[in-house]
Amino acid sequence: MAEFLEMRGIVKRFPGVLALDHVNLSVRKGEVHALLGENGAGKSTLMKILSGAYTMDEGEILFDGKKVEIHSAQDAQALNISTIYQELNLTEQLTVAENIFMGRQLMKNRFQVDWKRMYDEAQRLLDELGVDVNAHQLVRDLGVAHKQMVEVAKALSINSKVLILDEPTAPLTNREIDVLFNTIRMLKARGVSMIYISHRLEEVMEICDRATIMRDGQFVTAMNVADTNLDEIIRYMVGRELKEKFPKIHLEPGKERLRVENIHAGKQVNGVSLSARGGEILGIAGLVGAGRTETARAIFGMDPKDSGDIYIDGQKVEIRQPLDAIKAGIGFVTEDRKGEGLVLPLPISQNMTLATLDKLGSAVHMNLGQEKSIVNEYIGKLNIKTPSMLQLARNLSGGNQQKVVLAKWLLSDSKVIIFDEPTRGIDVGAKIEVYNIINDLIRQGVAVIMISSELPEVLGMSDRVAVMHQGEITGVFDNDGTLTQEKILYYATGGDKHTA
Amino acid sequence: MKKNIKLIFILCLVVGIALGAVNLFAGSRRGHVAEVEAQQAARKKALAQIQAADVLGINPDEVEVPDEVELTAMDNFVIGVNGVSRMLWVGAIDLIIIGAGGLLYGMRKGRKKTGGEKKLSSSNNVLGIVIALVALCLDLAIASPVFLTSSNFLNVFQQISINFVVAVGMTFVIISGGIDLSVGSNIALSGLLMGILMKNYHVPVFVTIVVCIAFSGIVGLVNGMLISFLDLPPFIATLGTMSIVRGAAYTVTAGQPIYTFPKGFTAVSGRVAGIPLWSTLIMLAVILLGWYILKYTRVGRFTYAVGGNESCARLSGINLKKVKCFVYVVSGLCCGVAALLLSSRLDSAVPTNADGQEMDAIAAVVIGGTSMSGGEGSMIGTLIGILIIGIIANGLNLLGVAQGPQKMVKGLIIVVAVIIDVIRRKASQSSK
Repeated sequence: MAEFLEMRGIVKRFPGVLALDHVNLSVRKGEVHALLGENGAGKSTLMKILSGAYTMDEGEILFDGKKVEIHSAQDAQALNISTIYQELNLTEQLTVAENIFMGRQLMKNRFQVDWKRMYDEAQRLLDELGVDVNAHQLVRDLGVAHKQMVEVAKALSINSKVLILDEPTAPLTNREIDVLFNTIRMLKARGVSMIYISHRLEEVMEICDRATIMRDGQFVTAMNVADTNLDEIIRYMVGRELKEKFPKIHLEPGKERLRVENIHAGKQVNGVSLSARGGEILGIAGLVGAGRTETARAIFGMDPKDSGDIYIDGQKVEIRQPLDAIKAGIGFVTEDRKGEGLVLPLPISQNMTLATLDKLGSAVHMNLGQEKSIVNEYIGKLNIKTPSMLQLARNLSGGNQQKVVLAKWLLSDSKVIIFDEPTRGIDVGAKIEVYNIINDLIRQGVAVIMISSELPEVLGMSDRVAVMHQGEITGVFDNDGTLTQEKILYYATGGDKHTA
Repeated sequence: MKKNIKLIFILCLVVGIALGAVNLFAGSRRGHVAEVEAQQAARKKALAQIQAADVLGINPDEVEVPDEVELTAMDNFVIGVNGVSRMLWVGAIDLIIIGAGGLLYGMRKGRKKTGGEKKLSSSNNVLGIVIALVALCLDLAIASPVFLTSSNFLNVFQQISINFVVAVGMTFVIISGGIDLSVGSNIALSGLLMGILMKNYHVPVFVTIVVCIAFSGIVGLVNGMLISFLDLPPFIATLGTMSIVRGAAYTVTAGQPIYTFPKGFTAVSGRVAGIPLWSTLIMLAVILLGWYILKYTRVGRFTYAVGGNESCARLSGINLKKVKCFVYVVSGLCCGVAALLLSSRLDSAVPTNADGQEMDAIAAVVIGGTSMSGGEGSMIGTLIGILIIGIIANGLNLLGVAQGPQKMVKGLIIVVAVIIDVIRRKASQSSK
């Protein structure tokens, strides 16, 4: 079968990072092609190049045998390439038909929209897909699965030849997944080529024809799904050996500092129980959408939890809002540094002390001199590179910003600190500094919970590892040298459910 | 700095200097032109005498007829320039300040870039508006001889006193990321209540003042609760209370004004040894307190954090609801104080008092460099913003500009200030 879409030798550089290093991808007509790799392997970057969100630095794209240039989303659209993102791209207040024909309404003449034809056409597309959705319905009244179908209908209406599906099943229930897979098979029969990105390998085995595996921005291999198995795919995805870039220290764990029992919160956290002891790092691994961050947010009181109990040092604590959690002795370094970790227009000093102002003099007269000396002490201690403590947080580099966030929680004398992706988006040198700060914390008897999508990091730093999948913990393991990335990935993609 | 922007600054500088030079030249030729004109007049007079003698049949005595002189084109030009000399001076000075200031700032920024050191704080913004304030004063000093007199200063001072107090409260609200449109109505209602309590119920002056300021604070609290507990957008919530409170102001006295307050009350705005001592002290106290709260108290710090990043503030254990209520209460209390100053000065309270006050207060805060998106700003900036707004209004009055155009100018200034805020924001984001 001829290659329909080929990306050859694609290179993409970001400042300081080689995101894609001569990556190849070739997709045949009418096949479902899985694009696999760990978080950060470069899958999204590659797809963003294909959909015109990024432009590549080197390489070429062949479409139906001809060389094409994709510089913008319009270029991609002209080639009939569409993407269905994980965060659906619909306007909630408009009807299904209006969304399907967004920006290219069917017109009677220059000024009048041909509503009847538009709604008829939309309904025809939806019926063809076999979805029970009325074109007149407002999108906000639809469930996630149906919204996704509206996106598919939109892709169909522009006669897509290549459809990129980014984690399409993440928000869906099992029954909804079956419906989606039927749709995918139907599209396939029509000759639509699909690129399927998913962390759920069992689904890949079920629906995909071929797979391309990426790792660290490089092309690893491409293969027929029928000729391989789960273990082999995982081995290719993980690949490298762990290097000595983790300054791990081993301490005798102390008594239990945090115990969480059976937490439920929304759809993403379905009965999580875990415990963390002083002097240990509990790693939480899992794939995007597994509910790790949501669990942390529920523990910290950032999002409401439906049920479940939290104990600190054996004492039950009521946490309804972050203030309660801080009082109970929990700190939380969020994954969204700019969105939640820092007040960007404020200087370093004020960001550092934001959670601990009650320790600086009285409420009506803060001791600014004391603040200054504390802040300067931590700027030195954490090696934050800045000309002054008055530098605005928004002007710092990622690594230095992260250190400011860390300082904020170091100042709070917490008993438990949850780190959500503590080293995301910072350079290698700063990463090691962050690990050393975490080490200092456990030396002081703090219990550290580290959520990370980088398996080497989880394995390199944790004393124990809890693995999550679909809002549940599928396994907790001692990191005693026998734990492997393969095993974690196995549990992160459903664990014992594989055999079921 | 972009090249075309630099060109504009250079152009400003060159045109400014040229205007100044022309003006100087015209000034120096003033004597010559006057001589020519005098000679012309003398000749005309002499000719007229001769003609008159002719008609009367008298032999003209020795009338000396001066030589005929013509005004050259240059002389006419000089006359024209001298006619608008003041305006030209204003224009020249402004252009020179804009040009030189822009170029200097660009050079400084360029140096910083090569030095690798980034902007440290918002001091640059305050510097900019101080320059604007100085330029404004220079302009007015030239344009109107009255401007620099002490009586005019007292006048300006009284004019700005209301906005002064209100803008201090508004600074809190805007730093927290909100806005308070109800300030004008709050002042009007509070002023009327003062009148009613003192005139109808003979409540002692001091008690009246305390009660009415507290009442204004409660109006602020209602705003704060609507915004924090019911999650209304600040604009809508305070738009609602603005109308409700203004309506209440009309209702309490059936639209009638209240006149002649007790002496103890009007004394607040009275003068001691020629200066409005008490009102000055009140204004000073308000702004110092505002400055202190923002800088030294926990809730002041929280105000910045809530405006700068609400989710980070929440995650850091800050009670958003309390902080939001606090800032609107502060704004309300300031309205109460403003009502005191206004009613005591006018010796009356009218339901239409302080109409459109929110515009002036917001303008002062925004001109002072406080960002409409919250998290940034300072009391010093607001102080300068208040002065700029007040002096512009005073200047327009002195120059005899009517109320209509005055409002247009004010609106224009707000728009320009916000445009500058947006541009600054974009620049700081792209430099990241």
